[in-house]
Amino acid sequence: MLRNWGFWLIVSQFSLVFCNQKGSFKERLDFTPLPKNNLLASFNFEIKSDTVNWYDTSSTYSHYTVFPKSLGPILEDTKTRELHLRFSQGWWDSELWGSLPQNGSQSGGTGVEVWAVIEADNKTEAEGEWIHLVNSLSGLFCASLNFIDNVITTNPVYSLQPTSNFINELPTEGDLFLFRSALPREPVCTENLTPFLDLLPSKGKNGLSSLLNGHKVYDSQWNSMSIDVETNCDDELNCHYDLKQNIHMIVNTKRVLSKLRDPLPVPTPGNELRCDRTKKHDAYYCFPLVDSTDIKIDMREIFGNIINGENTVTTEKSRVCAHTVPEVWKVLAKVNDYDSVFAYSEVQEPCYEISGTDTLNIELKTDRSDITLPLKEPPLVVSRSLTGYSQDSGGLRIDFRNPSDSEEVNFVYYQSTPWYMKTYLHTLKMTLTNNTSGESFVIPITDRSIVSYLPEFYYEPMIDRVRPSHLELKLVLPPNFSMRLAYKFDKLMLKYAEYPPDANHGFEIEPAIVTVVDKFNKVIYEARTTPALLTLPTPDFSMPYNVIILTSTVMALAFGGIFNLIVKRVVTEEQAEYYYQQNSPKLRLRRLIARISAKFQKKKAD
Amino acid sequence: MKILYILLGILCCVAASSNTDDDQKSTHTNNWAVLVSSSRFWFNYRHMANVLSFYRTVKRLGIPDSQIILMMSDDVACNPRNAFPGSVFNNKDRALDLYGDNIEVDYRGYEVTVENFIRLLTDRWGPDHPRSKRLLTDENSNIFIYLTGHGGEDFLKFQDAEEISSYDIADAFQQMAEKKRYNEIFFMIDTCQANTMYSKFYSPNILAVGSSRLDESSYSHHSDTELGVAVIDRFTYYNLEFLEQIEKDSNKTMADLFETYTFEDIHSHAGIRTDLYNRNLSKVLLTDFFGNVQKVEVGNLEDDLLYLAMTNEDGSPKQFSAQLSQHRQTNVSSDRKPRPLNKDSSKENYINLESTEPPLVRKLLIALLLVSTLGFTYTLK
Repeated sequence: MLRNWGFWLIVSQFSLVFCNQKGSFKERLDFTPLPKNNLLASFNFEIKSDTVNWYDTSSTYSHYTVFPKSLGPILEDTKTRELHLRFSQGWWDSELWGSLPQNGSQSGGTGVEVWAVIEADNKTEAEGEWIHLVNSLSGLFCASLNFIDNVITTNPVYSLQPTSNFINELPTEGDLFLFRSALPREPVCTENLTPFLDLLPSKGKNGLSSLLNGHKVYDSQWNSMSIDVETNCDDELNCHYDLKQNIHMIVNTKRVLSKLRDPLPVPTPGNELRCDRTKKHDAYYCFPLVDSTDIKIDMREIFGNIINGENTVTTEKSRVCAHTVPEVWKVLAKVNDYDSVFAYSEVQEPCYEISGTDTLNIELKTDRSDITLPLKEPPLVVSRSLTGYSQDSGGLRIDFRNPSDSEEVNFVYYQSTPWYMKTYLHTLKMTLTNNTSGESFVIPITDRSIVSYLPEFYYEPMIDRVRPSHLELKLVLPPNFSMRLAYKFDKLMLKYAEYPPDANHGFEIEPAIVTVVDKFNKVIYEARTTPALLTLPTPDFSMPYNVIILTSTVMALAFGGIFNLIVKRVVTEEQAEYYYQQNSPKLRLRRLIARISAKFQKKKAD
Repeated sequence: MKILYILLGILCCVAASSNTDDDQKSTHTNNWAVLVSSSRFWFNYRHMANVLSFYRTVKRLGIPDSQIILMMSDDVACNPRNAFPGSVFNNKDRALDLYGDNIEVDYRGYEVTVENFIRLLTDRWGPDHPRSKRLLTDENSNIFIYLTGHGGEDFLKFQDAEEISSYDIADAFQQMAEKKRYNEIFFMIDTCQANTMYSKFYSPNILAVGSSRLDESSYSHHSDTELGVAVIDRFTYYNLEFLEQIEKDSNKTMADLFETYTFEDIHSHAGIRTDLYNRNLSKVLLTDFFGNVQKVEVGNLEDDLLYLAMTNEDGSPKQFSAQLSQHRQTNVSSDRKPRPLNKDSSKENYINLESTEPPLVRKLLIALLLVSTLGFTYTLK
């Protein structure tokens, strides 16, 4: 009887939680074939938590349905209201692949990047919570996030602003602080994917996550893994966490397929060479053609796995969508290896809903892989490079190009550079160039007229070993124009123990963030530059040992000389000769004998 | 009188000897592994492979990821020079990928320092240090510690930038002993002049092995020409060759493993230090260190057995004689689904039925002792 009661008690408790708001889980996979046999695969997982209430301390009971238990307490403990993590590797080629997926909102720069909104009473408390947060995350995500401290942390002013609606809806008890930091040197590998999958209720065992495999994800041309937690509230101020997990990756299908045949790149055998027939070709000459456009993309080959049945905890059916040109591309779904053509309900977006526990394989087939959906051009193109070659100073140059002929671009350029790059903002020069005519003019920052292109900016200079340089520029780029920003910096010296073990490799400067906004200041596109590799004057690390050896030698020499001076006397040869004769063994012996015989004679006399 | 004394003496001896046989059984309740690769750079691929081979072995033998501290000084799996991204192999046949699909690296890259290693052993951390990166052992923990890298007489290099000396490790172990942080430690090191690294230990219950003695180098086993680097060290290779045959329930002992160490295989003289270790090596199971304690006591045993006995496989109640089913029906709700005895089916769980009472022989001995002392006191009167 008692046990039945207990059972009902648990049920009633469950329903109590559920009547507020129930968590949910959704997943979706998108395939977009891109030119030159590339394929963009985008995994999207959305988890909504049950209602949370941080301020009500009376209800200590918290329940996790699909929201990860490993993440929840960390967020609550550090009063983190919004959290964003990015793990990326590779370089996005916008000329070949167009604009970033999801307008760049889910892609990070090379390495690991993290930013969070923390609620606290004052900044010192918030900083403490931030350090606590990144340390906890380092344990969770197998990344060296514990290296994040105030020295590399900034508080962005215009960029990366919070997106949770909670900030407007709910009057908070404390103030909100935004922190951001990045580790551009951090490798991203399978050990980061493992915790990513562990956050999902399906744990990578079934549903779409069963396709994710470290060997294939990290063999891609470019990949970006993102984890975003937002706090959103409804009209009745019932708040919940929204967790979005995404993996975007670019796979070169020809390369992956050839790797299946031979894991190491080998020259194409003679009989498989496709030569240009219009040119001379024989056993010795061949002008190879581009890759063949006849291709069959099979999930088992691309991901090493097939979808292991439906995800049983999703609130709506998992979907796999292929964004292709239906006239040339054929998309097949193979349930338990039975072929069935996708239902092309809409021309633009044929999707397949996964149901049942059967395995599912998706196949994309075409003989014209060069025909893909038109690429979306990014609203702004940016590149950044280091200039100068000396050991003690250098420069930074950032190039922007507005590809549009008609619309001007408003954007924010965010950059955080480490303290050992001592930036001189007064050297900042802006060069504007007309893309068609090639005419250009230079505006130094000291000139008033720069305001029409640089209406606002925020700059916090670095302090040695305390904080980085934090620069945010609000820029306006007229249509069909390019802009170049260039400024100078000094390289500061590090202390002997501050150098990493591989200091000769150089120091990675974290990627800068470009946020394109529309007239209403709404973010429409986000992109990161590549990291820069800064070489600092590196000491010879064997120097202390050399110094020890050299000093010891000098000491030994000095000691020898001084010691000789103290205990020895400098004499002429004659004197030495004389002394020798006086002290020669023969004489000594004779003297000794004389002394002894004298004693005996004395005794006799007695 | 005298006969009684002799009898007593014999009895005591018998009692003591029966005790020592019990002493040879390990008393630990949990297992931990600390696996450290201390050298940086791609050409030290083999050190990463060494460590990952042991990671795979201890995981296979049942130590969970939460009880393995893996320190990897460089990223070779996703290194741009690796032709097989996300994979690390310890053999040129490339049959076994050590990086697998499910790996957790606790300390990586620049985090692998002498300071962090000592802090890990002694568990002295700042307040923000996450639990998953701590060695949360107690006096019942058996710890397997494996180090590999480049070393010399009494030192091991970390990251090509700093060194740990044999004195540092010895003192850290002593601190652990004083803080009751272990039951037994099995220390294994594969580096040049490795045996010097354990020569300074002075704390109890430490069993140590090394790959080569003073003035001897340790060698790599073979290279993968397509990867362009050596993939494993000899000492580790032959240890693994033996350990690959071990299963979770194996009865192979340390002595069996140490017997396989030959100069012909390893090309150096492997050293074994047992003077700090009390147990007889031929009684020490390999799974005492490489495996995990598998015994799980299930609390509501009767309850569940009853439930299983009362229900069919589909969860519906079984039909018994009218009287019995009437009596039980109230307790078994029909909507309950049958569940296994323990949620985690990956572990081999069995019910610990060992009784806490002493065995019959010991009971008899105690009775005899009592009787003889009574007789002794009586004769004294």
